[in-house]
Amino acid sequence: MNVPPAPAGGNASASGPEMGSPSDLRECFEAVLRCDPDARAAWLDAHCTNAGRRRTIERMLEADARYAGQTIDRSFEILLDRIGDDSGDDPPIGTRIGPFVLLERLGEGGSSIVFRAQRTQDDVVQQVALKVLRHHLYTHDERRRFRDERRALGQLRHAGIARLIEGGITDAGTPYIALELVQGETLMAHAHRHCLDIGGRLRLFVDVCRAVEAAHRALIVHRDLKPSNVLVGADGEVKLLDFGIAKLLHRENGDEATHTHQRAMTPAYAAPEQLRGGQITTATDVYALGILLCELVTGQRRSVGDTHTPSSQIGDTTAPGLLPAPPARMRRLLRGDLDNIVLQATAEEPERRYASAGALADDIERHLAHAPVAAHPPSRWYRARKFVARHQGGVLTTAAFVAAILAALGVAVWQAHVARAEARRAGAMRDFMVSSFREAEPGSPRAGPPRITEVVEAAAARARAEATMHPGVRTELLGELGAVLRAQGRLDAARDILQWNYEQSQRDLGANDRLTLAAGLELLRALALTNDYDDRVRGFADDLLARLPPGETGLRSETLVMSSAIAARERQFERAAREGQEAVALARSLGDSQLLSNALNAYGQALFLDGDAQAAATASEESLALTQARVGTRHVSVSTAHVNLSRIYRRAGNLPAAERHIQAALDIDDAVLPPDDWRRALHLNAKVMILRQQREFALALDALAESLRINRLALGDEHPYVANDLLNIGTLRLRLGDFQGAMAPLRESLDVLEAAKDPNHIQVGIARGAYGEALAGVGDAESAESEMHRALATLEAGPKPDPHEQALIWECLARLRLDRREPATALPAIAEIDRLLAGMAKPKPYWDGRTAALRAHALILQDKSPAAFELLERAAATLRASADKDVELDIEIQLLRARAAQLGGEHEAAPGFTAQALDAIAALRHPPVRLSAMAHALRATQRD
Amino acid sequence: MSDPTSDDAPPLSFEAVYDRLKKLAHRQLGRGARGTLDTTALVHELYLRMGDADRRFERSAQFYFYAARAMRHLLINRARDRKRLKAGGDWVRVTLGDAAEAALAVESADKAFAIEEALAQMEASEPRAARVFELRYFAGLGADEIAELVGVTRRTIDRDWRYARAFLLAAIQ
Repeated sequence: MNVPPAPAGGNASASGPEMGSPSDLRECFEAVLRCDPDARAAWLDAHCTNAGRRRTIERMLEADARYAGQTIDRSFEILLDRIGDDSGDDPPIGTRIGPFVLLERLGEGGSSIVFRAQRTQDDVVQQVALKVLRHHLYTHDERRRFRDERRALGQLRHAGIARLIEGGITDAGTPYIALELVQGETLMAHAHRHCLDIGGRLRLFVDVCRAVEAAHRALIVHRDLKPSNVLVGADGEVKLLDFGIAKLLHRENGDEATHTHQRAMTPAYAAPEQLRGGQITTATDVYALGILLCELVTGQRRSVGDTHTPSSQIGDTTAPGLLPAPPARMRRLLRGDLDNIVLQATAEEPERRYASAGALADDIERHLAHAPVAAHPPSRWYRARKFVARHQGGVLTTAAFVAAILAALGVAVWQAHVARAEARRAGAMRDFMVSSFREAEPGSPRAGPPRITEVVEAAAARARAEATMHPGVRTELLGELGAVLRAQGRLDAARDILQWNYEQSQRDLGANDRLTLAAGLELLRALALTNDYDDRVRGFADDLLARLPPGETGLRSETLVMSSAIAARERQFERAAREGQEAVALARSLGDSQLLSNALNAYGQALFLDGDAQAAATASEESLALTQARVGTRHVSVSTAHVNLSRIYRRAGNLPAAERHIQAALDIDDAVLPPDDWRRALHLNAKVMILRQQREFALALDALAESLRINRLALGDEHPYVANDLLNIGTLRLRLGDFQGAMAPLRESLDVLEAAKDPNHIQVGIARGAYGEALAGVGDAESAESEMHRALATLEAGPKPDPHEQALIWECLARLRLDRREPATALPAIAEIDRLLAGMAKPKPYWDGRTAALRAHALILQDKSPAAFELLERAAATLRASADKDVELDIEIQLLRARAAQLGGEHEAAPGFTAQALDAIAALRHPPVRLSAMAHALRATQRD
Repeated sequence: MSDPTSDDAPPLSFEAVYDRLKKLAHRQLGRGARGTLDTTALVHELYLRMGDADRRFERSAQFYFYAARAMRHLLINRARDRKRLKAGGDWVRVTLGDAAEAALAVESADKAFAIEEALAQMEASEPRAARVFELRYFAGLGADEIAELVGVTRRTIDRDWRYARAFLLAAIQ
């Protein structure tokens, strides 16, 4: 804007320019203003001869006076004139405002001027910062409101806030406020001058937040936080200026009808709701703090409309003097945590920001302590997922349902006073889902009410096809829809959608975008549900983990949970436990209950599989408590938690606790699940394990029958869970001596497993071994041997050979051979067991006793009774000393001792042992068939 | 620094701004603004909408210059429409500026014309002052912001403002 050329017309004076007289209107006007009001007429007489011009000037003076205030302090008017003077350097010292005398002008703001002022009271000289307001308070109401506000602000005492000392209104209506005079430099200047590093800047910032927090507790909002309002004294102490002054300075007009927009803030630091004239809350200050933080760490002013993260503000061309560290290093330091913190503090919606300045300070402190921060993008689909889960297998009925799911999506697009970009995106998603549901409403031509999964699948297909959808929106939408399908058991559909989504997201948003990684996690979850983990899944999980940036605490915790589960399935227990533990720690730092209980489950599971039942129980108990707190006691998640705990307690040997939990689980299942829900079968399986341990084989078979029925129905006859049930049925029948009855289920189990799994999978080996036992039981020794050898071969060839399972089969073989009175072939079998045991890190404690018994049996058959006896003595002693009461082993040892005694000619001792054995057998539920036969045979020989 | 404007966003033009502003104003009126059109709020709304995450203004100045001018055009066009049609709804009272400086209420089409004429006159002799007036009353910016946008000191702005206000008010009496 340049100074204009000579005027071409208008009010130009008819008489030409006179020497010494201002020729154009403006100069005239300003010259007149500089005169005392009394002298103006005279000046005009002298310098402004044109009547038209004079009239204009007079009208202008009138208008000017009207806005400067009706009755105005003459001295104040002079003050304004002097201030308006470009060249003016002289401070208007001596002017009195209330009890203060102005000493020096310190600065000016939009609606006020600040002076250093002083008052003398009782010989005490007090210096203050005096803010003199430009506009005047005319009405009684306005003055009263000013006084009330001032009083409230006066109560605010905090070391970090410049205190309001006093305020008042002069007779002329000029409001003034006296504030604590703060000597210091602004925040940015201080940081720059002292070359503060990021840590130092952050610590300063925390001080600022704490001061703001104190004011918020007194329900005072600053409203105009910006770097120039934060001073740092020589002692490094932070002082905030103008707290709440913004409100004080500008008249609040509560009257909706004449809603005039208050511009009591600087746009660059103003929160969206401030710019729109919406509700001002403490969150508004949090926003300003966020911007301040960004500036403080980047050293750069933030301009209006800037939405980029602090780290992206640093370009290579940024002036190096501004930054606390070189650009590349700065970017690295800021990325992740600080970016996220700033983004959360400056979120569009006030509800999404930190709840308070204190919470913001806490997060900064966490960052400084290298702890994970709480800031992370929120998951608004969390509730939707919960909602859908509650209605599993549900059928859509009414529009109320549609409304409910929209509410569950948490998309509050009907909040009239905000029209935000985020809401627009969420609105797009909402509209999309509404139309999907609308198509599914019963009114449309359909055979019957649609299932929720059908609607979701249709919506997913549409989302895939819609080319105009914003990629970020689509990725999120499809990720959540896929998760819903997965939770509903529609695994194939879920996998398809999630696979497509992940690949597409990589193309659209980039491989390392947060949304892409989240999509990858959903895909991983779906893939991991298949029973066969191949290296692909493991590799995928590792890849995701590597690509997650350090700031993504929540996502990392969730991915670690999956990785832990995969490791556990692959029997890498140490890794599973380690990752589970890390997931727990991360989840705890976020304070996210859902995340934490998932992590605890994974951790507990890993500990359980690794054999530390006690620790597993602790983790799982906590998970149960969290789940109950979150969803109440009547919920399938709680049931699952009970089942986990029952498994753990059973393994720990605490059967009563195990029973308690499984019963609780089944009760909940009855209350919340439909009769054929596949989860019931899973839970029944845990019950079966308990019953088996209690030797309630018949009851266990009943439960298994039900479990099998459900599994066949829900999963099909070819599913490994079905095979598992069949295997259990078969082995239980073996225990009951029903060898014939065991054949069919074991055969079928083997068939299914061979087809479904890797032929060398451990379960195949186990099933084959059991089948072999059945064959031996029905008398087909040859086939039995061959099947068992095949079983051993399978186990040996497997990717992770389990020596324990192999030893069990060798034990079986040894026993069969011993029963056939073939010690020569039995002994090598026993030697194999020894070999395997030697290679085991933690062999089960009962092995010692069992191998001793086997060896003793062989010795007996070889007529070496003294040696046998000695062996048995030691075995009996070990058994007595051990914590585990292996009843069957005890019986066997007694019986063998009886036989050894008989052989050794000690016919008196033998009956004693036999009787002991028989008593023990009788006391057992479903007495062990083989031992029973052995005992009766012995007694028969003793009678002779 | 990365490119502030995304590839598919058209460069900011007066037409674009004016167009958006018109739509916004319509919407505000349609929502029943209880008889007043608040220009400041409108411009802020416009700023937020046009300056969303997809585009970033290289210089806010450009936007505000356009917005203020657009608002001025809007006002005068409404006045012209009213004059031409003679009927068709009440003249919606427009408030310029904000309450810190008592707002200028434009209660009639005639007043709108008067303001426009005065502004045009001012532009001929004191264009910067006219600009300051425009930014203050049509876009609702504060003195500091105007100083920054226009590139002069705050004191200069104050002086311009004082003159512009007096001139305009005197002209429309």
